[in-house]
Amino acid sequence: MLSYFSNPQRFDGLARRVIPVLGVLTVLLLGIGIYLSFFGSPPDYQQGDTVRIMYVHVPAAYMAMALYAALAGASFVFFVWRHALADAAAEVIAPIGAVFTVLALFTGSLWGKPMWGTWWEWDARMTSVLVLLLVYLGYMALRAALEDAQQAARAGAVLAMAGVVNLVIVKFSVDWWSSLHQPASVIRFDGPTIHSSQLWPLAIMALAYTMLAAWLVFYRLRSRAVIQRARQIERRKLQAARAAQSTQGSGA
Amino acid sequence: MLAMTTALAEFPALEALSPQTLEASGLSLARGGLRLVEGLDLALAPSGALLLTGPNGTGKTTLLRALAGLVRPDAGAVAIGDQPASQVAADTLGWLGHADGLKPNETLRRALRFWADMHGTPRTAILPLMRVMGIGALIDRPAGQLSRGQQRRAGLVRVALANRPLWLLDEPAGPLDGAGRDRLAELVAWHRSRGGSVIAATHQTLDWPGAAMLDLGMYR
Amino acid sequence: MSRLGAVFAREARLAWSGGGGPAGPAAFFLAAITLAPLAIGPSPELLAAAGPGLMGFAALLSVLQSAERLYGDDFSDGTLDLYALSPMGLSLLCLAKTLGQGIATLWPLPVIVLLGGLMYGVPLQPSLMLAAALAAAIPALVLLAGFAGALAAGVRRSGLLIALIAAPMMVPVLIFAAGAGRAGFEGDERALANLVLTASVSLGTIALVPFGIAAAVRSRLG
Repeated sequence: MLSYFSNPQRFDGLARRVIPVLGVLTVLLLGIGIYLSFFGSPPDYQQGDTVRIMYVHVPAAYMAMALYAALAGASFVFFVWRHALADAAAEVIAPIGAVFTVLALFTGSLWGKPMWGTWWEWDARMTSVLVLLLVYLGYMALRAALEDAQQAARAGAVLAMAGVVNLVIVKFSVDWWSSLHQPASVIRFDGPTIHSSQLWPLAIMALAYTMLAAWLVFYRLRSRAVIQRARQIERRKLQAARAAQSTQGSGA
Repeated sequence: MLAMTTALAEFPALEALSPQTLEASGLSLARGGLRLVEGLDLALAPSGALLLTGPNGTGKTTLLRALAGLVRPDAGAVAIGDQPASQVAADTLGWLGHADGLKPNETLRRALRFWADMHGTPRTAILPLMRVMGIGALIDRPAGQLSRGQQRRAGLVRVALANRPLWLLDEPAGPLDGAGRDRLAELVAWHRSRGGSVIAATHQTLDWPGAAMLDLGMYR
Repeated sequence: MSRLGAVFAREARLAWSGGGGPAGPAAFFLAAITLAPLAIGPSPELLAAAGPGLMGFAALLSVLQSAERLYGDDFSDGTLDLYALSPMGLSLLCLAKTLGQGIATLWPLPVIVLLGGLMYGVPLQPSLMLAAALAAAIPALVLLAGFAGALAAGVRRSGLLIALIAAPMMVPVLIFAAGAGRAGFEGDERALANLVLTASVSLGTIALVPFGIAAAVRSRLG
């Protein structure tokens, strides 16, 4: 399928049809999800209204990880089969994933204040997400630093794939690390037991976030393709001009 | 001609080469979004020589790197013998890039011994080859103290030491003086007399007998 | 095997003689652990408690500080092309090269840790534990720095980029190696477990990371 859409025109045709659909779905689902989160679900018997932060936090954390999986998957496809579209997807996914990671950290911190009594707690989960943010930043910085597009694509793919192995080991080591620490007197937070009245808004918000991410990815892929085409036309012009100049000059 | 035959006598006796053909077909290369070469075919038989010419930026270096299997072409393939170049490059290629691969703090003796060991060539071949290139007296000098031309000569000694049938040289004569170019020609003639072949990218006119020319400027 | 040894010996020799050799990371490490108490304050209890973790962190920084040298010069002087075209498998070559260079430049760190233990008032036993864990961690640290260094080779001011790429990868080694020292200090019986985990992460990186370095090198040469 990917090779089918590696033809730029075909991909453009697909993107043009998919983008509005995803846009409408995102707005619709976000609307329903936000309504349910704020008004359509009861406050938690223990946490009160602060539980509502969960509806923006948990889907963000899930998207942060899902987008990294997508980034690594696209990198793998590019590394093995060299589909330019897979590389474009990886490049486009990274900043979106990073933004969701920041959102997860930010909302987690907001939630932590009433839960733990501090804005930041070095618990295993938050620390792992913080490391995930560093991985995203490293990936983007590497791509930005390499001027040759082909090198940036290949080196980025190698780094993104290595990141998967790394994140798994980080998760394990961070769990180990926080278990060494004697639990303090603050409330240990092990994830709320989900009640069905909370499940619906959570599921819909997760779906809405997924649609939002997909929408952004397709949108950016298409604008990236347009920019590339414009650059290509410019380069061809330049090349033609240079060729004309050198045929003039070769008489000398 | 007389000078050359006397010089040939000074070359060390190395293990015989197993000559290889090199063949590229339908090669397309791009760099930074610019198409450099499109649908290029070339073939080089044992004892052959091919000079790549053309203005800066026409893709001579990229073509050499593709022939060595370092750069993967957008289309087409490179074969050495009947194998893909990237698979057999290590056992068939002598490579001289635009940089010589020398370390400023390392003496030529140390560096060349290392490369001789890596390629399984006896260390006794080092000094004769250095004399051929006219740098025998510099053996204990760190590479950082040498001139660009002397470094280039040391790089060529390293290529010869690898004792591989197919030489890919990027601007081998770039920093060389007249005498250096003569010695390079002798080295190449020796290599070809053993069944080896050479492809060199060059701006200088290199007077290698029977060398074919390929002007990459045409492909622009 | 002899080729492997030749690469190891050459890289160790070049790293030893060029660019200050082991003096650079050693001096950096010493400076870091000298300055830290000036920032934290002279309270002996605080220093002894923070000492093992601080020294583990400072050791990581000194590895990062010297990481630019691992692949940067080889990229620009053409050595990496020759290595990629050498008759030895590139991953094995990268393993020998990185370890040769790393051990030649980083061997003073575990020794300085013992000295640092005295300065921070950490008892001998946890200091020894930390030194052992650090010695076990050095292969992992230097290989991960090498992976980042190969990806960023030849980039202008690559040091910062290498640090950003390598830092998240060094999280597990840091946790286990520093954890060995910390647990040792707190009298926790898990000190030995941390040491074993450090060694296993190191062995794991020795088995896996060379392939990553080779892929990184190839991606930058092509």
